[in-house]
Amino acid sequence: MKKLALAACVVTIWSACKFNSNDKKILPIYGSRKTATRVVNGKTETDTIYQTIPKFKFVNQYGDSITNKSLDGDIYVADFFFTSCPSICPVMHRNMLKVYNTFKNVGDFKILSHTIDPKHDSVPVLKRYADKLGVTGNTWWFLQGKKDSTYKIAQNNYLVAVSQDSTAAGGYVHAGYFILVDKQKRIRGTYDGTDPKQVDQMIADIKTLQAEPDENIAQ
Amino acid sequence: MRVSFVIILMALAFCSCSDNTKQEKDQLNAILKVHDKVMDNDDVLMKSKMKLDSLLKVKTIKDTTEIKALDVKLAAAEDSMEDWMHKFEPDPAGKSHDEIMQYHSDQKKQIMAVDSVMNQAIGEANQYFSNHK
Repeated sequence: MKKLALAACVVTIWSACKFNSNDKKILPIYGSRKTATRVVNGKTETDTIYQTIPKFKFVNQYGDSITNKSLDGDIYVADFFFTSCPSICPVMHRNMLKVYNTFKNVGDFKILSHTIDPKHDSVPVLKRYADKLGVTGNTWWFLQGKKDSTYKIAQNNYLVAVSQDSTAAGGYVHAGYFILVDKQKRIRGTYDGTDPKQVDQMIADIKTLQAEPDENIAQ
Repeated sequence: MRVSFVIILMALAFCSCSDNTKQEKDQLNAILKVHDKVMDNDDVLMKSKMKLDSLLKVKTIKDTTEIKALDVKLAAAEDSMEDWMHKFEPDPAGKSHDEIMQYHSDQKKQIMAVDSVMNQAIGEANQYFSNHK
């Protein structure tokens, strides 16, 4: 009986520690950063200013304008694809469907899939693509815009973290990455969208971000 | 005796069929490999294009003829890549093995030609950038 009580104690303590360690998990913040000093009540304070996703404007599969403002208060995942892609995109979006199905009923989550072939991927083509995947509502937007604008935001912002970590020369836009962005539009994770294990990790990380207290989110 | 003959025939037909499928799949994978390389190059091409476009706005550069010519070449390479991409049919349903093999062989030649046009345009743009640092 004593042994049983001891075992129960050990299991309880271990569970508590495990729970706490999950609670404390904080995802890294990617991209460039700079410091800014300010004087508060006569004291000099130094703040870290993290790189954020800048202003943008694209059109979704419903023909609606989507801007950076449309994502205010949302955690989101961004990726780059094109509907006639014969190689990695079908695998990426098969994996993204799992993410969509996990979070489609959550109010503060979105997926942005930017087409890199706007000449072909018009609004009706994107709508047909979304329908074929079974995507409805406003959780997963397929976005179309000028090719230059898409590449600019990809290369200068979303994929900065990827290029920092890699020694390969270029070629990140069509490399199947999923980029996790927090409510403050800071990059918090990059994942290989063709690898189901990494996509599962991203789902776990989205839950971690959702549990992040407001004081951690505020810059 | 007849039964075993039929079984052998069926086995041979099955082997040849799976061999055909493997050949088609290998050929398709070879095309997709070149396609993915071309798509990686599209990143570099877009970077070069953006760089040239920003140079066109620099007021101190009086003669922009070369920049414009390079821009046109990059745009043409981009068009040829997109044109191939839109027409390529990765799943040629209803075609015979020979037809599929012929189609894949033609498509591989085409995507390799696109790759070479892109490399040429990117190479010339890079040359310009290194000559005008």
